Amino acid sequence: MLQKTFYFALIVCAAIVFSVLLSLPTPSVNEAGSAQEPLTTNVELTLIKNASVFDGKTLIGLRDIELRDGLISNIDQSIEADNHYVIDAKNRVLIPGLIDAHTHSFGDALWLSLNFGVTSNIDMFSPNELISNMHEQRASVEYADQADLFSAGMLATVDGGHGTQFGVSVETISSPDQAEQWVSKRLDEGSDFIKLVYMPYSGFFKSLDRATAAAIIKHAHNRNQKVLAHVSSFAAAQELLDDGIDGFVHIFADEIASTEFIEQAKRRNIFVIPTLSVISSAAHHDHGQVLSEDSAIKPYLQAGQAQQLASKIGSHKLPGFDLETALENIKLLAQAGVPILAGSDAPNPGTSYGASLHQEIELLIDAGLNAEQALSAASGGVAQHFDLEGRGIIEVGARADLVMLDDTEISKRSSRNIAAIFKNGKQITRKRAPKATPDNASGLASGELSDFENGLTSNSGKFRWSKTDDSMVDGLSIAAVEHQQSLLAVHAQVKSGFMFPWAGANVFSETAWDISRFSDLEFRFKGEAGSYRVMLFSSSLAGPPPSQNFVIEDSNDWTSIKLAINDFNGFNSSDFIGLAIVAGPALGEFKYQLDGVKLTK
Amino acid sequence: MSILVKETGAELLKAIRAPEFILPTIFMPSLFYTIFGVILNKGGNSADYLLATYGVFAVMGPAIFGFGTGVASERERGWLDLKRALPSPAYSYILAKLLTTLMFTAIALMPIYLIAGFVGNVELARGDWFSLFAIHLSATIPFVLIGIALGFSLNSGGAIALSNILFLSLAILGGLWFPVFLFPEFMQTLANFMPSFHLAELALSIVDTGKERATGFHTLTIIVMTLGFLALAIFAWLRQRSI
Repeated sequence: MLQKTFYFALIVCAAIVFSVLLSLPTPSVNEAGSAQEPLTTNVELTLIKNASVFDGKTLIGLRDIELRDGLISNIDQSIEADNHYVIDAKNRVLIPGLIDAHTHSFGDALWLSLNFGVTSNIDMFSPNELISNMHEQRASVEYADQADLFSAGMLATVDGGHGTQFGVSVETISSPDQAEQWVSKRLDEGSDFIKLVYMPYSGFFKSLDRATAAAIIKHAHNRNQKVLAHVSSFAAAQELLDDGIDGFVHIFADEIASTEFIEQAKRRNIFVIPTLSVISSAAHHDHGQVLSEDSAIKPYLQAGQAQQLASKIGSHKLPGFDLETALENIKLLAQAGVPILAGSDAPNPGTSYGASLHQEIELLIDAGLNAEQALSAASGGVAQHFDLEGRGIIEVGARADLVMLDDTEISKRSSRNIAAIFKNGKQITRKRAPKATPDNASGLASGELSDFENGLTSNSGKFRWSKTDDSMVDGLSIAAVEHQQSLLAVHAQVKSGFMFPWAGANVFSETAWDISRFSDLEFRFKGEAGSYRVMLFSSSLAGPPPSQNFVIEDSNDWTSIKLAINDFNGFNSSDFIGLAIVAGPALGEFKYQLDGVKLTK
Repeated sequence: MSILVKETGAELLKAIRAPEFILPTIFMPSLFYTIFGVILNKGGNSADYLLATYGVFAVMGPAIFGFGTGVASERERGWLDLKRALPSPAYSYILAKLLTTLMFTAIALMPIYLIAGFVGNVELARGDWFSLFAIHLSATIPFVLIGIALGFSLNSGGAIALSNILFLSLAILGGLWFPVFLFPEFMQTLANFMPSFHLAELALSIVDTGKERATGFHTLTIIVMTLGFLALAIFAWLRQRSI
């Protein structure tokens, strides 16, 4: 009897424990990204019937295409449907998944890209943390929730050069004798190619000297790696062309290229990624803004993407960036037969992941490419010049990364009329834009943001406090908040990892409010001496939020802080959803307390 | 072995027939977790953090009270004197209690995990759920040893009082209810002497990967502490035997 009791209890116990532990939720496969990945159909075998196929270079006519285990397993004039999941592509064009040849993939970049049919991103500089698992991830055909990543990894620049202004630690290089070791280190880290920054004629930045740039090119070539260059002037481009560069990741927009340059570029077989979208932004054209309102793009823009597209680089037009000059240079290069590849340079102001590649295709057509060439520049052309096997192409054995267009033929804007996206053979469900801001006409009656009497909610539950840190964009900072008696205690560890590191507390509402009748933000602060930052958020925000800094000198006493809302440049006071009070970008560990946070008149 | 099995069976029957002790120890931690980790944490992000710490909290109760007050009162009522006259070896009395406690602890952890996973939206890799369970379950051992030391050293009134004090200090000072970094400096120092703190840090190393934790240090500390409690328990056991 007692023995039976024991064994029975043991078995019941083990059964309960195992069934619970085996049923508990686990994170989805997406390691790098977010909880918001698009849904996918999960079928083993798919048949796309009657598609007008653009194979990455040219339209090849009507085909049936079978997808199996993440690859294209058969292409024929007609394939009998068996136990396939069948998709009718009649009157539709099927193109390879697009490839953005110039990105910097932070945060949600890879799924945002996929959401617009971009199935591979080529980063022209990413911190080492970002590339550590990219080889493994892109080798797999399991993922259907993000684009694949290729990257230069660390870029070659000098102390104070372009690339060092972002707060990410950069391994700089200053002399030719360091080149061999520098290149070798990149290849060990997993860089897919080498990128260098050469801006000897820039007024803003220091630059590699020519001998060092040449040494990097030489040593990379010894290791059979391509070297691509960021240049911003024709003169710099000419020097690197003489020194053996393999491609440029921007087109210079300061002067028209000489005939000799064009001929030499053709002879040397280099390629150019113009990034016209970002040159348009630097030249203060409004291509991004127009794109954000396009009826094929707008419904799929995620929080902040529209504002990102509408913003521009710098407060006024930057010298040396003339869009007409850039377009003319691309026209001349393309006419001479120099390969042109499409890259957006997202997420620079005026561009956004995924969406901007469609902008770039249009701009390339404006520059004189025809629709087939421009589409190839964003698919097969990129794959060919970056040696991306099985991508950017529709053939048997290639990856089943595909985009089906709601068009009978390809034209200037057909790439954005997306009917379906397939990643590794699985059809994804595109994520639509979040719902529009609810009516906020009544405005916020009370400016109270921190009762801190009833926990973390404030103003009758409209607002809620929580921690905020750059881990949401793959940074390494850590924040924690705790409600204590009548105040909020914050513990922030600001660490290098994201371009603009931060950690601290924020308060948010689920809806936007009109706060235009308030003039100031006031709060009481007690914490370690140092510089802190207040950021205001709008529901339509992307990119850096309007912010002000304040300095704490005495760590023992409460300090009253008052900041005029008007001094938060660019803040839209009829669209307030929250604010953050954080430590950073100075690195270190900060503990502080907040109380009495309110908007006042 | 069969004596141990039978004795454990008896302990289990006792617990099932008199559920007023076992039910609260199973449900109180999950109730606490629901309130502090889920309900008061709406929209926040401490459900995973508190899962790690409340798991340790959940195993402390049955271990400290089951042994501390349980053993003391059985001893006081002369049950242990009677047992000494029986042929079953002394260790089977302790081991049976330990096995019973482990089983109830395992069961007590399950509602917390389920609430964390399905209400608090905590997602862990399958292996991590198992590791977390292993850490939580093995956390029973040091607390059981503390309970034995108490149970054999004090009378039942004293054991109840001291168990409660120990239980609450281990929970609060060990950072099981609030993160330790929110404490004033001297309390943070104090936390280092709490086995509950080191066990919670080990559990957090699985759940909260955002922060680097000195798992080697915590493992070593908890092993040394457990050996200390073992010595204490043996000492208390031998002393009452010799009276």
